[in-house]
Amino acid sequence: MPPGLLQPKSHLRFAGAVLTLYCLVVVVLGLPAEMTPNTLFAATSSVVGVLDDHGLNAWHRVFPGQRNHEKRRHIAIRFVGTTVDGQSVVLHEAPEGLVHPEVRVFDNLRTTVSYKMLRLAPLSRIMRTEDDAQWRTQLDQLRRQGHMARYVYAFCSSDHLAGEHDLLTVDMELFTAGIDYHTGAQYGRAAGVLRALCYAEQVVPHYGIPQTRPGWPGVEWREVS
Amino acid sequence: MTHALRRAEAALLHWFFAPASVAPLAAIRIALGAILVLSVVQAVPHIEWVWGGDGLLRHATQSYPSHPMVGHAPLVFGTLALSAACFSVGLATRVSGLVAAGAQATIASAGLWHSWGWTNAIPVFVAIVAVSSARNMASVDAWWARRRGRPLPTVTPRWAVRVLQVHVAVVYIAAGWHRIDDRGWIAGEMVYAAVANSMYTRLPYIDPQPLKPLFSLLTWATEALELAAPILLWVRRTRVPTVLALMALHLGLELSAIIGWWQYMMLAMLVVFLPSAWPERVLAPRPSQTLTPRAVAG
Repeated sequence: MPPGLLQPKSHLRFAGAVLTLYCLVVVVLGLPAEMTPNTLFAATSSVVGVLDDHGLNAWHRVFPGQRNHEKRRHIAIRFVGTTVDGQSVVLHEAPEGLVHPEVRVFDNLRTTVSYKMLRLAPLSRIMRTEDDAQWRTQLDQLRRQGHMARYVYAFCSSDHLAGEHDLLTVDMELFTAGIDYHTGAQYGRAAGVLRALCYAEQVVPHYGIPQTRPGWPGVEWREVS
Repeated sequence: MTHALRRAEAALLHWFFAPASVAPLAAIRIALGAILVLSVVQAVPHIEWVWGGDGLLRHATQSYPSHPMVGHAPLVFGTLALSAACFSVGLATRVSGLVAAGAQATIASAGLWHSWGWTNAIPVFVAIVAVSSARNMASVDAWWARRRGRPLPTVTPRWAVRVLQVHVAVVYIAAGWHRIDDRGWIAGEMVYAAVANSMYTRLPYIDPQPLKPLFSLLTWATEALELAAPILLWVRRTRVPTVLALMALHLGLELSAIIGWWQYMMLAMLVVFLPSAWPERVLAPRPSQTLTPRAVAG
């Protein structure tokens, strides 16, 4: 160690103090709940939340243990519009064509946005639920979420998203497939979720059955009543 | 102040301010700038559809309509592309880096509808690199300074390296220690869950069932590595093997899953723990390593 550091100049001491404090804050803000007292974690979480709102968060938890998620497979959504002259048009599919290629090389931002719109947690639940009654419950919860209604209605209110079509209705359809961790059995379900009535400026539940389904290999499609 | 405290302060100041090569910082600067440019290239076909004045977020979310990006999305993305490119090549590095960090934070603050965790982590790293001595090597700024007869020093106090090292270690603390009581990780099911999830996987149609034992091993290896990394990265003997193992982990994740630019960002950031001679060899080969006419003549 250089002897000069034993009698450091004041600006060096100040810089050292600032950097030490910064590093300390970085460490404390990064500690997960499992390593932090509850009150401290509540305080640090709110600080990280504020930073997150401003687009700054170097403490992001990477794939933080999707608890109890054992069976997950495919998810797809489709928005089908009906024009005033009765024409049916596919406005958006996530992923495109409802199926991924054998190997995905690039992320598709529209697909990612659509997945995120459905929100990861409810989306994952609906994929891994094998029980028919539970699946219907999850689907009904999706139908009741306000942001889902805004999502569907966006295709009415945006000329860009509507592809310049004059739309009467927009139907959102959902396709999910789960996989049993132990047996490998794959079960798929397809259902309508919401219908936007563009001229009435309303969004209502959609109980129709999609006319086509994705050709996911190995998936056995179940009837949804 | 007692002698012990004075020695502790001296040790701390030595830890932050001992001279070190700027090569790791220069390498990270080039990589982070390139990642931001490529992220814009990837976003270009979707800007209007996602962020535009008549786009999805404008109509489908409550918060985005009042965000400053509404109506200015092409401007923000254009600013990011230009500043990140300048940052990567080291042109007006400090200004361009801070502008790139600001533009990226602006995009991230619109909500993480379009991306993953890298989006709002990278502005912090870019800002730190921007204000460091990262411009002093392999940059237009360094070339220009040399031309003017005032070359920039390639050995400077290593505070930025230390701060970035702390950040990287904290990323693994946040990632690994969060899962210690998670049933999925303990049972070795999480790599399977990721590979079998069409939101992430690059290989949506492989049958994961026969590979379950392999996925269990990979799950436990991943967790063990991420739990130990925040310690092993600080031990001189284990540092390089740990960095190489983490790089292999991120490469493996990149090959199997899509989570934006996270893996590339972490691969770049891990350079901060490698011996500085490694990036130096690439960015500033010593004269003795280059072939001179005398060396060629033997």
